[in-house]
Amino acid sequence: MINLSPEVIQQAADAGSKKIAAAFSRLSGSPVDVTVSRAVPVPLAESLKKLGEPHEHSIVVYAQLLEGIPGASVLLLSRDNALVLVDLLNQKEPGTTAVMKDIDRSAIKETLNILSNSYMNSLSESANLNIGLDVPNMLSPARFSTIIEELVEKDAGENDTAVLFETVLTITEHRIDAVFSLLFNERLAALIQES
Amino acid sequence: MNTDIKVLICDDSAFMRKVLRDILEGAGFSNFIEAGTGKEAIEKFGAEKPDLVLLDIMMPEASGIEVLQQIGAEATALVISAIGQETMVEDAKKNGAKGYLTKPFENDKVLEEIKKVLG
Repeated sequence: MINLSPEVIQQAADAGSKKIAAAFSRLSGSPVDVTVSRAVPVPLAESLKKLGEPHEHSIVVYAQLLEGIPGASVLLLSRDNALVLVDLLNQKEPGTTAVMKDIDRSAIKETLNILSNSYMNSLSESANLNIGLDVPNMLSPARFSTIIEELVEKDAGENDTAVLFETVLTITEHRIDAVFSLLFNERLAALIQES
Repeated sequence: MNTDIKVLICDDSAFMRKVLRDILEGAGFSNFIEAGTGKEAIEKFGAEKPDLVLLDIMMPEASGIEVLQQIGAEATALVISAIGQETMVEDAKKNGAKGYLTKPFENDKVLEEIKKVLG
């Protein structure tokens, strides 16, 4: 595992969290608090556990990083929270949507796209690099776990390190907790460290 | 601002296309074409010759930058993307984008940028 300066990485995480809280607030039209903001170096093989096991009723939105740094971006929400979020994104009264339609799934995927890019715009200022994101997908928790397991199995050497940036965004007024995670390999951490 | 123009909205997100259409309709625009991929954007630009193109960057089949490489010289294009990294903004402008707006945006800002690119 590389020797990271926790302060530097945490600073980058806090700047990213602040940026996505502002973005989430603008999207939802509600005040947003950052209730967790952390960056943790983890062995890549253990990254699935660190991302948190999404339970059966979660909504998982996932996108892979295309260029710059290998990694993935994930947004986890409970199904109830996702329905309320869809109403906020569509400027409807919370409680209006009972079943998600295609346009609602598109809204949730776009939310991950905007949050991920906002976070990466902030990281790119810290690390002076460009990071590209693939088109987001909405997955079942089981499918998501399988993808991560396959990635880890294929790519993770015994000593490979990942850095997990995690932010929990809370809209107290509507009891929404959205868990946003970015998982990078150690090269990103090294670049932040050098900058 | 002349709202009697044809606008091509290119974004792979149906939600974002709807948001942009709603903003423009609220300002009096009514003539829209939509594209959900870069390839479709190039095809619809060629067939419909819109007066204004609102263009996302990350799209399937061809990116917004690839679209600009094809139509940038001819089109009045405003890029609307979540990617705010300076090199991307420069790349878009180098390939013919007349303006660049980062998501998430305020509705008024979209109309302000459109006004700017239409001159």
